[in-house]
Amino acid sequence: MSALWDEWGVRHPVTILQLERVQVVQIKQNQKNVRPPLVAVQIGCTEEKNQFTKPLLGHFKNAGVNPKAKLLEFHVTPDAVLPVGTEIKAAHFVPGQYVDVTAPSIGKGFAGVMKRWNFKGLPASHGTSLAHRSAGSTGQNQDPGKVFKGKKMAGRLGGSSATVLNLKVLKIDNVLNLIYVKGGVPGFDDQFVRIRDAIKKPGEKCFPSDCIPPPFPTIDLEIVNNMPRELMAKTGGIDPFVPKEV
Amino acid sequence: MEVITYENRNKAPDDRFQLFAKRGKDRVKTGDVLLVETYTSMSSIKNPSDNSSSIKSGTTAFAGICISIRRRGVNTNFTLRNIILKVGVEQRFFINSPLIKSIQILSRGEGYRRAKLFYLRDQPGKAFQIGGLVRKERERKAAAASK
Repeated sequence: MSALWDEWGVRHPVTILQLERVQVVQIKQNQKNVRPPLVAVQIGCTEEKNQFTKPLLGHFKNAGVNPKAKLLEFHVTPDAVLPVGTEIKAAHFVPGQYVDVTAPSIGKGFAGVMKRWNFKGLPASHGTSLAHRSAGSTGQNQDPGKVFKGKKMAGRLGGSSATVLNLKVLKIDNVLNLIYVKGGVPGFDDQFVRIRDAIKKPGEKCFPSDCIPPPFPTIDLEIVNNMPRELMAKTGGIDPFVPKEV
Repeated sequence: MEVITYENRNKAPDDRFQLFAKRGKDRVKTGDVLLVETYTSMSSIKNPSDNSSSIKSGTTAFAGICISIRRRGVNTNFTLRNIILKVGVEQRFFINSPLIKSIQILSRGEGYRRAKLFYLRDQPGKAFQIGGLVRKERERKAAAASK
């Protein structure tokens, strides 16, 4: 995590995400798990030189793309489909828009009940023997005579998919293809994450008013080449450090 | 990350980055007495002659001993401690904040052998006799301005 200062001098914690050679690898029409008007677009990220299986190498050769380390699918409407091989740049995102970021959370291993479910444990003294961090009772007596399914107990915590919603894009770097997103993102450094436009801000709420319509289906390469290197989100509003005059 | 830190540093035309570098003859070390001038708000930089607002001046000054330097790339910050009207006051400054006007070294520390001087909170000794240094600096500035 890093920090950015906006035009009023307010410091915002940011996470820096990189779009490392993100290219469209395959377009799948009429898939079984995709609702009818939508089309699945497979996107690859980060070129890798490791050994790949022959089927995978053939898959990338078909697309005319260097072997990618990670492949992900997005379901889009037919008018948003990009030709195979198009590169998606950081300028695809508009500074000031909201995004959702999905990534596997950090694994915590076999976690006890206090960490996993915020149980309060048992007293540290007053006679408690050998059970300070345990769950205590797991149910009633002969009626029902069993432990209910889904009872909160110790077990593996973390390593599963987590989504953080409504993160604001504060800045875009066009040379290094970086997106500065306000706040934290699940997972550890150098991990693959999945970014999409905020689902809970439909239509025009997702983007700042002067950037509607956003780049659709993605931004033209000519426009990107003429853009300045860094684009900051506009903060606007009143200076928060000036006391309000009564 | 170094490229990113370099791109996002505060591009003020002074030598803040060199002052807080890890190596260098003139770098700030814990134990040095620093004077930091901060703008009260970004509006005071943009409209310095705005008389309608209630703020008296656009800058605030704080002097103190540097008790910790935290080097974290863009987030590099340092803490100054001073005793003002018998109350210990600590303030943390971020180097790359646009609200910082200038950082000056009033005097170098001698005999401090730690990276973090948190023990000064309990054993101040003679460390906080800073008022004289600030006065001298103000007189020096006034003399230089009047010339």
